[in-house]
Amino acid sequence: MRTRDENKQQSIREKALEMIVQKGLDGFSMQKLAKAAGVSPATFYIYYKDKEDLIMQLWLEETKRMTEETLKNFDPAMSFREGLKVQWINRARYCMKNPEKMGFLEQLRHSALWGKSFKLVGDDFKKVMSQFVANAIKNKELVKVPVEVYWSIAFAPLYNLVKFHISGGSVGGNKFTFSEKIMMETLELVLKALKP
Amino acid sequence: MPILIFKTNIRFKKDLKKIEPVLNGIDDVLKWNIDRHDIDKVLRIEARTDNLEMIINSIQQEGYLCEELPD
Repeated sequence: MRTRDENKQQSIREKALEMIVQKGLDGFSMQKLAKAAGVSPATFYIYYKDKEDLIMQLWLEETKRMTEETLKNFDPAMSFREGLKVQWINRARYCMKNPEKMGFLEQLRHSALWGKSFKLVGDDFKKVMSQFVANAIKNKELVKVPVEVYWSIAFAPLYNLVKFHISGGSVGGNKFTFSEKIMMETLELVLKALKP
Repeated sequence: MPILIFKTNIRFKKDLKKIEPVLNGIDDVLKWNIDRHDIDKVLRIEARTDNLEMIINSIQQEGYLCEELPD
């Protein structure tokens, strides 16, 4: 019989995140991960059914943390300008504090597991966001476009700036430092683009 | 609840099909899965017992390798 050990599990989690960020979802095996985390493959299987189970559990924990951060001081009844500003500040803070976790979520976003993963998480976050967007459209503060288009304009610019900052270089290898001033300037452009 | 971890050579779906009724037929086996992507084809069992022998024998009787994966 085997027993659980919180430290070992933590070590597996951290190594897995690191390996996924560096090598992608397909770039590691249980065996490699167990070795890197300093546990035996047998120990790994005490905590997780398989690799997919591990990725899903990591994703769930991280999504929960990320959505909590994003919703701080946010209310879907806010004006579109105010609500988007609060979200930008929250999302930027989360990413700057957890660059490796942002990398992990990014890896997953572009994988086949993304669809599956959404069935696991509750839809509270989605409901709040939908309500915010519906209000904004009703109040003629936001143009009506498909949700993918909305997301690509409303949030992708922010994430791209953060990525430039984290990777240390931007277009043409220029050095780039993220700042609140740059964030607010970009937000103004985004708000302009989304006006009906 | 004991978690039992075995190394096997259960590689293909047809192998899985043979093993399925065996494991489902053991009362003390509550949940099980086989990670066929792993080189050790790890069989993971959540069981009511830690009687390894009984499980190993049942699988070996079907002609498969099954041994405890050591720590």
